[in-house]
Amino acid sequence: MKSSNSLEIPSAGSSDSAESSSFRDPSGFLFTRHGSLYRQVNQTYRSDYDRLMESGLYSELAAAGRLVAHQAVDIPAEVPDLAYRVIQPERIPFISYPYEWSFSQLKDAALSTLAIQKAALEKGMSLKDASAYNIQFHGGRPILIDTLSFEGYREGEPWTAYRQFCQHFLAPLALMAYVDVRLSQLLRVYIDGIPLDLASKLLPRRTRMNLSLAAHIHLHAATQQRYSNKTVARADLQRRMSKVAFLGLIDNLESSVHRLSWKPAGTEWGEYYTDTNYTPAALEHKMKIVSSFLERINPSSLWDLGANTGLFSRLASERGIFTVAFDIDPAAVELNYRACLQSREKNLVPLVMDFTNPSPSIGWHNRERHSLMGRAPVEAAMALALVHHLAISNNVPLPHLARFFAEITRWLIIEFVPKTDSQVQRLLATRADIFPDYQFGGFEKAFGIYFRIVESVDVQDSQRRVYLMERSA
Amino acid sequence: MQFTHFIQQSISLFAPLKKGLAYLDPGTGSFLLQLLLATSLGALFLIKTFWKRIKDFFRRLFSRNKEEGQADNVPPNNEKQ
Repeated sequence: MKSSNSLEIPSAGSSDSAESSSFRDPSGFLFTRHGSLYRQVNQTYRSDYDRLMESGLYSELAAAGRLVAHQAVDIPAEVPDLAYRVIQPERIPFISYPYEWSFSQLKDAALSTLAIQKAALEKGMSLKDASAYNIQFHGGRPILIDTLSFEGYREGEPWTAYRQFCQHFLAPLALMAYVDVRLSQLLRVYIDGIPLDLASKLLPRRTRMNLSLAAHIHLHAATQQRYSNKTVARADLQRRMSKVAFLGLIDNLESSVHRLSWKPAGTEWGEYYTDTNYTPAALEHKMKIVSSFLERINPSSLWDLGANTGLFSRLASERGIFTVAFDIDPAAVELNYRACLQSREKNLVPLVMDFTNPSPSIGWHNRERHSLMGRAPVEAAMALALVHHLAISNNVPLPHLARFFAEITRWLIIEFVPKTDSQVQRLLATRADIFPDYQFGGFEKAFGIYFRIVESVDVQDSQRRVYLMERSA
Repeated sequence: MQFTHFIQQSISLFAPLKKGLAYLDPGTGSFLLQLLLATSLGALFLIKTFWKRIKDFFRRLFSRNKEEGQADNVPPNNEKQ
């Protein structure tokens, strides 16, 4: 997602806006017009675009679900002076970012990028960038969304995107695998991937014994440092790299990524998901309530906030509702993603999200990557067994919680967990109870400011109640 | 790819490198590191590719033998009766 750095900034014109993340690459840019997303392909990219389409690479990758499909459309270009074509890519229902992915999601995105690069090389093309932001999860698998990422492969030239691949994929994966899975959050700070000197410093000594990591991270960092302020002889920068060496590099990166692994078991949250206070009858009843609410509202898309491993998210996604399953715990998201892969689920995207500090807007102008709120609203949201974490552990007053939900959704399926519940008692065990309003009456009053309570049902065999609410007009 | 083709490609290419229209800066260090790694990664790739071919050859040979062996063991139809 990148584009025109020309002096001509795509103006409002008849469009709603030029996509703010789409400015780096002069090959083209994304824009929205009357609510539809388009990509302008610039004249400078003409020969590469034609080669992509005519070489069979586009059809091969699009058919394999590796590259977003698009259609050429006959509408006025956004910046006609630069334009070669306008294309309309298939819309991705929810854009997510690498700091919201679990380990295997980032690993699959990396492997997908390399698989695309290999396919491109077979057709005489190459990826000119390897940004993790160019990958999205769509239809249950990683997909490249930047149609303009390809260029003709020039024999002898090293891979321009090598550094970016190492920073966006290899370094975070190695840190997650060898140090701590939460280090994926460094991607939120470093928008162009984790600096390799930082990764090299944080990785344990034993990774220097791993030939691939020694070369692509440690030696890479040292070489960058060595040449950071040096003028290099022109002849050195004109040295060439054979195609076999190029293929060898891609192959080696692929096996390096393959060898990195992380297992959710043994994390501090490991037991959390089996340690609920639901009896089987209560769980079954709660599922029935949620199903009946979903049947009643039948939304096209839904966010499940605090989804754990996605048990309740699947009540929605299996009905054909496009569902994003957020959880704070990278282990739960990892298990959820693996389950999606195993059963080839197409409607569910598990993501890591801390709702006490959701993804902010980051990057140039604070507009390159959208905040969570910037990606709202959604038609329906579920918050099951979540409110007590936000209201008690994070001290969020109930009216603030209600306002937050009113900003993100029209329909809300929400569970209230009262103080008598053992989970809440656990949260209150070591602290003063400064939450006099935290009871059914206070909850309904606070949410009543923004929502109309359509229905509420007590969960059998428990202290909890599940509500269906609709935002007031 | 044929072996001769591999060899041809492995031989250093002497024509000067043209600057592409890439919008990313590959970074001097990253650029030079690739060149440094090039020979060994290229060689590793060649070995890997040919090792795979050898394995595939023996696997095919073995499976063919096995098929033939199985065929030998199948009793003729008349014996079954």
